[in-house]
Amino acid sequence: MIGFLRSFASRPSTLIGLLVFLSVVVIALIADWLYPGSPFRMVARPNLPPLSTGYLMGTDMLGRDLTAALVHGSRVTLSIAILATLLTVAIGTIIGAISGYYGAIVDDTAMRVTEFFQAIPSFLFAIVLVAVVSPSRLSIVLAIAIVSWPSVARLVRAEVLTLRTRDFVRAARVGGLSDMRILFSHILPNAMSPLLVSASVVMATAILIESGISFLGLGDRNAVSWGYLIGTGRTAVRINWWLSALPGFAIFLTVWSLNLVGDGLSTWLDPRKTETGRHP
Amino acid sequence: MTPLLDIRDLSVALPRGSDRRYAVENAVLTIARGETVCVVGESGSGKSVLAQATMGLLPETLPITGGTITFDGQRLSGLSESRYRQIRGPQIGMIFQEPMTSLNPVLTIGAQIDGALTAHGSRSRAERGARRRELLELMRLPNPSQIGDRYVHELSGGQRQRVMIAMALANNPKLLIADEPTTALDVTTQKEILRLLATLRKELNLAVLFITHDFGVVAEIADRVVVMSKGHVVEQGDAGKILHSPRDPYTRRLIDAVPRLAPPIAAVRSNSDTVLEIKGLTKTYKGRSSLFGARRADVKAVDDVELSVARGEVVAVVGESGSGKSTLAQIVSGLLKADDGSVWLHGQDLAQVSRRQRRRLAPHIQMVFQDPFSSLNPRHDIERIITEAPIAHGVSAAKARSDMQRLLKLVGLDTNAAKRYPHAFSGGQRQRIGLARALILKPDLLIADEPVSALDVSVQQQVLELLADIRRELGLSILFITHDLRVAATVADRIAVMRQGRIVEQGSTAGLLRAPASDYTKALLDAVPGLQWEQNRSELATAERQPSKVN
Repeated sequence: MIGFLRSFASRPSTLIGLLVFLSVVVIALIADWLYPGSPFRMVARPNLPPLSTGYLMGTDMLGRDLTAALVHGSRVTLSIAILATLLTVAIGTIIGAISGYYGAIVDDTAMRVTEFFQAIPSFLFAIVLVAVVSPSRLSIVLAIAIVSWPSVARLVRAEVLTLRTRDFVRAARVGGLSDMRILFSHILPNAMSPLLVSASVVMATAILIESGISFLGLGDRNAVSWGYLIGTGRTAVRINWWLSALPGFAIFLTVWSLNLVGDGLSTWLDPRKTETGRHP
Repeated sequence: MTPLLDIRDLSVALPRGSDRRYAVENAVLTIARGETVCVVGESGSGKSVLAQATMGLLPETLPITGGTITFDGQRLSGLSESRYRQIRGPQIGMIFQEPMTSLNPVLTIGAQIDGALTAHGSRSRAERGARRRELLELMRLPNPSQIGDRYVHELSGGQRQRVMIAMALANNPKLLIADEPTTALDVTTQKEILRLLATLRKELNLAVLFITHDFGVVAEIADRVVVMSKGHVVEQGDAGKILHSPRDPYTRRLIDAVPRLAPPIAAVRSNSDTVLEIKGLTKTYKGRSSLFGARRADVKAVDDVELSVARGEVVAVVGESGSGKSTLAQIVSGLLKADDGSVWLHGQDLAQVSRRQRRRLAPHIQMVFQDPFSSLNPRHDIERIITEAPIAHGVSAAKARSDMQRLLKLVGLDTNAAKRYPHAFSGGQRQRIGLARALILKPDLLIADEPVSALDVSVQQQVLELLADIRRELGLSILFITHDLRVAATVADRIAVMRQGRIVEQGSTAGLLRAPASDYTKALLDAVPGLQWEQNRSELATAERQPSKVN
């Protein structure tokens, strides 16, 4: 852990990414304390420009506080992104692990299914899924997970394929351990590093997909999310551009910070770096 | 006469935080024209650093901090990169351990030799073509006029190394540096390459700096020997002197650690019951048909193998790479399924039991692996590594832990090793841990798949002795897979020689070594490097033993 922090501190870009992402998380956590009450309330004169007194980012055409909406929006966006990422990683890991470990027909079947999902443009597919099912936060989470798991599954499969030929895994098989035990206690823990890196990328993509869906008005109408804010501000973009631009900037900042964290993670977890100590 | 290469008091620093300050410290070495000097040492002795320093190929993290390297009257240390480039190639050639990774897979070997020729000197196209043919002929490659059009993957390992030598010698260097050039090759191929090097140095009056860890190879080719340990030159002198009467204790220990091609004096041949019986075992790797090109032929990795191991017996399976010996080990251990034939353990056919039953029988057959660095899970501590399997098979945690402590002592490790992780241990120690992991299940049969081939000779000797002790103590039956006849001779009661999936010959170790029946075994025995030296050594040993008997 100390090595992790030291490596992060030595790379300013990663540090910045981590700080930005953590502050977004903190804002999401204390949203109710920062701006109590519903962000849908009309609180001031409509179309106040940014930096007006009391309304840092101005108000929309109905006089709703954009800052409050952004702060509450981070909650919706992040919770959907985190849930979707967890689900994506879970599905991808299970399918990839089974596919790589058992090989043969299991692998062939699983990979054909994976390719089927990968062949459909993921964003369009997610939209179709949300449109078919009723638009709710749950359906968006499911849709994102369904379109994102194949990349994780392929990654895990590749890792498992190389790890299963390692001698310590063979030793576990010769020792008569069960397949599940070999997978979960010997193979997958050693595949954690690339999985973590890919999770950060999956999360960034999840934020983008969620924003896209909400922008198109297919999201949950009762919850403010960043994409929803861009979508509603779009109609008045010539009068008050900030209604779309500022939520857009928030999305950019969060996705960018996640990419920086992912970069940092992959350098830190670089096998070459950790291997050198073992092979002098 | 001034020496061709003169290294004086050379010191090369290691980066901060390494286990010692210098990779090479105050090394002194000279090579005369046409002389072959072997630098011998274990891994980490600094022998390769010495070669890289001479070639000017040291990475920036390893700076030369003192001493001089003089080649043919010219000082090399401190030379600029562009000047050094005129030395490498025309003056000094170099070959490496792994010819496959040293050659470019997308260029024909002719084009690569041509590249080596164009880099130096301004020969015309026709001249280069002639020189290329000449070189390929010199290397005794088959069809020298056509082989230049081939790609690397179309050549055998020995042919690739010949191409490497051809490239190194393309511009008539006076010195050839060979860094473990035969380590990755089979013994029979190694013999050919060593013979080729011997003829070349006579024909071309070539000086050779030969880096190796193998005293057998040293005995074959060296005029003089330099022994290195931990960055220091501990002893150097004439090959005959050092090989037969080493003065330095480290050299003596190294030489004594080389296993002898003679069976142990008292071979325990028990006529007790059979533990393992292999009948008509066959395994074929199906050639995959690719989308483009023809379907590749099937490979019979194991072909109708019959073999048995009695209680308390050690049977060695010896073969070169691709002989199927590892496939055989994996089938017996249950890692692979055979296509045909059967493996009987105590009269039970293992092919007939269900997956679940086979798993329950797993403790009876255990395995020790080749690579000490990948055979232990880096994320588990030693206690978990050793006790996981017995606990999974129903042994209580307390019992498993006490068993583990007993076994750690048995394999010569401290009991406080239990809480540490694999990275804290050396290769030899890891092999001991792997052995403890196998033994805790109280196996009837231990399969050892090249357990010492990744280890230095001195560590190898310790592990082999440990295996012999344990076998005596526990009455263990061992199926020992190895490519090294010397190792097989020291551990095994019986030897089976494998080639292309078939057992060509099997018999008692003494009998097989004394009077091999098949041509292949004869060739294998003949290819063991340092045979002559070996014979002199044992004669000396018996001569020494006799007077002491009289006394």
